[in-house]
Amino acid sequence: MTLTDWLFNPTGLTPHGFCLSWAPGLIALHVISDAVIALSYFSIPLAIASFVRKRPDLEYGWVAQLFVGFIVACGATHAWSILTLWSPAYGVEGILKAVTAILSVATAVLLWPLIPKLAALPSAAQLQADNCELDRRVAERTMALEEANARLVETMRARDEADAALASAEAQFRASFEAAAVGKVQTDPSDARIIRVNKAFADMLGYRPEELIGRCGWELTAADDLDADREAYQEVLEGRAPAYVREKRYVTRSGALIWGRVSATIVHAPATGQPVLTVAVVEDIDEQHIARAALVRAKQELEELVAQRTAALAQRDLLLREVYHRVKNNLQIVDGMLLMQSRKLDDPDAVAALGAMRKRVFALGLVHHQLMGSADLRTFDVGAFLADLAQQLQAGGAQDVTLVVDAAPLQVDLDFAVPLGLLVTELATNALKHAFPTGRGQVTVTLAPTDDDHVVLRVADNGVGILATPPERKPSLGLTIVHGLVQQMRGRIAPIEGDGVCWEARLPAPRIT
Amino acid sequence: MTLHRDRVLIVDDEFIITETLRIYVEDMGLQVCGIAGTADEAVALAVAERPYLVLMDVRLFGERDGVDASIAIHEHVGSRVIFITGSREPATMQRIQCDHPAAVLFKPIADGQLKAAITRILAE
Repeated sequence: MTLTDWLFNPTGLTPHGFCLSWAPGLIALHVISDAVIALSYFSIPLAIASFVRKRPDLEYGWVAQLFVGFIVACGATHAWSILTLWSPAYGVEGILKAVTAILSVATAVLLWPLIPKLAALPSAAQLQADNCELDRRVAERTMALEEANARLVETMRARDEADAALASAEAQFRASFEAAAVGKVQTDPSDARIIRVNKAFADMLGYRPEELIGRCGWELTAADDLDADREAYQEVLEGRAPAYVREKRYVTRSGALIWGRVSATIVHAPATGQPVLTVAVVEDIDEQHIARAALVRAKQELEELVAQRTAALAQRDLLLREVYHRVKNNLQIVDGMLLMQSRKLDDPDAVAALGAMRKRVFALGLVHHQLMGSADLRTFDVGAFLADLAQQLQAGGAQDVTLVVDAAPLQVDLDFAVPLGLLVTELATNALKHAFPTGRGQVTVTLAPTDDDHVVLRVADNGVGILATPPERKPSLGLTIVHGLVQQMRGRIAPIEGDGVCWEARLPAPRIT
Repeated sequence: MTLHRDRVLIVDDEFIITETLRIYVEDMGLQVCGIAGTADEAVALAVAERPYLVLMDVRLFGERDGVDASIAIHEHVGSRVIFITGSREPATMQRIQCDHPAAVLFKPIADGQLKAAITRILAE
């Protein structure tokens, strides 16, 4: 018997339908039932296989594969049962059942020990609960993360702000450094190398800022100022002086010298205290300096001029004194000649006339003597002058005739004093000569200012009351001089009634300019 | 050695003035023992004549003035000196005052002034 025979017709038996007597109802029942079972059994494992394929993470997925295997095998036995109704292929049917049996047994055997394990698998509710817990934790973590994130954002924002503030400060510093109208310089304290300069400083010296970077600051200082400047800077560097503030000369690119006022401070490292940066502000004071120098020069010139003028004034005073001295000396000589001349004369009238002349000359000399002693060499007080004059007029006269002067304080000059002196000389001489035949009496000379810018001169005696010139004689020289001088002084003179003779002259007050 | 009380030495470099002074002095009954125009002459005459009084001008010919002459005369002779000056300059006045003058008269002088001064000094 061949394998084919064994598979499809092993015993030469009839098909299974024969056993059912080919009863159509029965046949149909079997066929339909088996077909439905087979189709169902083919469908179920397909769904399971499909499910397993879609859930590769499924634990114990191989159990499902076993189910798929024995169900497919069951399906195949049912499908083959339909065939065996008409064909006696019982060999194949047996093989199919055997396969189904093996798979079923295997599944059954393997399933039992799996039960506890499958039972241990979380249920959907458990999973749901777990899931809720998980959700809660996730929410917590999410919240924590959001908070952390918010903090991070805040921190970053703060840092951004700080960065912006720093940038702004830097920009401001740069602007104030670069755009400042005054020169700004930063140098290395150790070697005075220039680290940074602004345009104003570079312009001041005729450079571009970048040309000065790296140069030694002292190269820009005028040679004459260098030693003193370095000494002053060193003092600040060593902390012996609080700040370096100096007016010094800088050398420009063209070699010219210009004046600048520099104020420098030294920045120290906070940790070590070592000097790390020298910051200097340099102001261009060249114009001020030039102006100041010009002012000093102008002041010197002015002082020289004042000194010259003072010397010239002193010289003028000296010359004036010399002139007065010489005038006095010459008047003394005139007086001497008159004296000598009078000694040669025998005529008493002539001697008297020369004597009168000497008194007039003396009055002139006295005016110059007063001028020499005055502070301004121009004016003097009339009181001392009249007192000196009276003393001289009285000298050589009668012992019991007195001459009294009463003068209010009054500054007079040459133009006023000369005619006044002559006036008093003439009037007092006249009184002394004619008023006192008995040799006793008093002549009073008074001088007083009025309210209307005049002065009143009175020469009065208490003598016999006879006016000087008898009517039959021609007017005396003395009276001619008196009237002439009063007229010259734009004044008036008249005798007034009294005990003796009293002359009153009203004269415009001296105009001292 | 004693001084001659009736002798007067006149020191001035202007003739008219010395003549005027001579008249005043002689009118008082005194004798003019000499007239000098320079300081050196004045000192020499004072030493030779030993006058009690010297009438001394300040400005004189030559380098030395009346104050210099007066100091020398005061030292060598001891005469009393009446200064007769036209100057009122403070510096000159100060120098005169240092020399212990017997009197200081200012030009113009009148005979009364000089007479009064001489009388006073002779009476001392």
